[in-house]
Amino acid sequence: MVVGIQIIGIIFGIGMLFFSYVYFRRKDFGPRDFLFWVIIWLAFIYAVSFPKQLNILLDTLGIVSALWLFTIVAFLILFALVFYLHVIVRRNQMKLGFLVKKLALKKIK
Amino acid sequence: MKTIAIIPAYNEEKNIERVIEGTKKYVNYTIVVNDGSIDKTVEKARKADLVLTHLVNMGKGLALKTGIEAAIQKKTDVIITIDADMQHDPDDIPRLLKEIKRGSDIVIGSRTIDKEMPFVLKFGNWFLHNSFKKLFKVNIKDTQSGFRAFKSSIYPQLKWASEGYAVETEMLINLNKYNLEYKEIPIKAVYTDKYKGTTPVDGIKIFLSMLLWKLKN
Repeated sequence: MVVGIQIIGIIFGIGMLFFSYVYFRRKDFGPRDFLFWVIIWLAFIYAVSFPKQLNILLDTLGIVSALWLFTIVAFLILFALVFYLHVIVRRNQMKLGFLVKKLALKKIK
Repeated sequence: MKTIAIIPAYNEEKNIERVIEGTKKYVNYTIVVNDGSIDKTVEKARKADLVLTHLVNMGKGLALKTGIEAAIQKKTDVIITIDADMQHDPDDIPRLLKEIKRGSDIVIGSRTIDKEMPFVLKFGNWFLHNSFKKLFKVNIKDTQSGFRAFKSSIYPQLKWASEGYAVETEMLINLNKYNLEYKEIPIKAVYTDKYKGTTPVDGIKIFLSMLLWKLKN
């Protein structure tokens, strides 16, 4: 039987799938980004719909409950995202610095 | 010996004019790098020989880089860097140049620690000085001083990646790395605005950068 919290999770997953599609159509996402997010949201919907299927994974990884699994995965994703964002910010900062310097020096040429 | 002074400035409408006037007496050319100021810094800096403008504020490190690259294009022998807040006395420039003539590659004007130095700055300088000494085994009293003179020929070795206030420390690390000849001379500093310049957060960033550079080296 599907419980209330699962319905919310499924609706959320479908909503995010829809947003991913919208971003893809607007060309904010390339095909690779779109595919990545579709896989993520489909996996999320599957995990929410059939939580008992996760038990196999939990036993393999030696994790007590699904909640722990979600927490650990969430933290891993969070750290990876912070690192990724740091790299992007640094790269953009360098590009901006290069442009600003070049524009300032244009005056003496 | 052609000497060019670089004055990086960010919102320094109150002091920039006096700094330019004071500096012009001792150098052949003055370059002000307006680092995205939103006040009247550019108008007040008209007496400088050249005013270069960063469209947005990028930090002292990049402003110095822009100024120095312009100075090198102007074929200078010596570069002077001086802050735009009138913290340094331009009348000290001849003392810095004298040491360059004596053979130093770089001369650092070290601010004397006295009653006038704000407590936060005093503590920050003490902390950064000791950290630098411990990490790099170099005893430079004022690692954060922006009042310096150096031969333009050493710029390729001194060249830094920092865009903010860590530039001064990175310069020192590079001078140590390439065994450049340096000299420190005491200078008197005037603190016109204690809320400007390096903040404690900048101090922490500089310290973290030091650790990173130590690991890299």
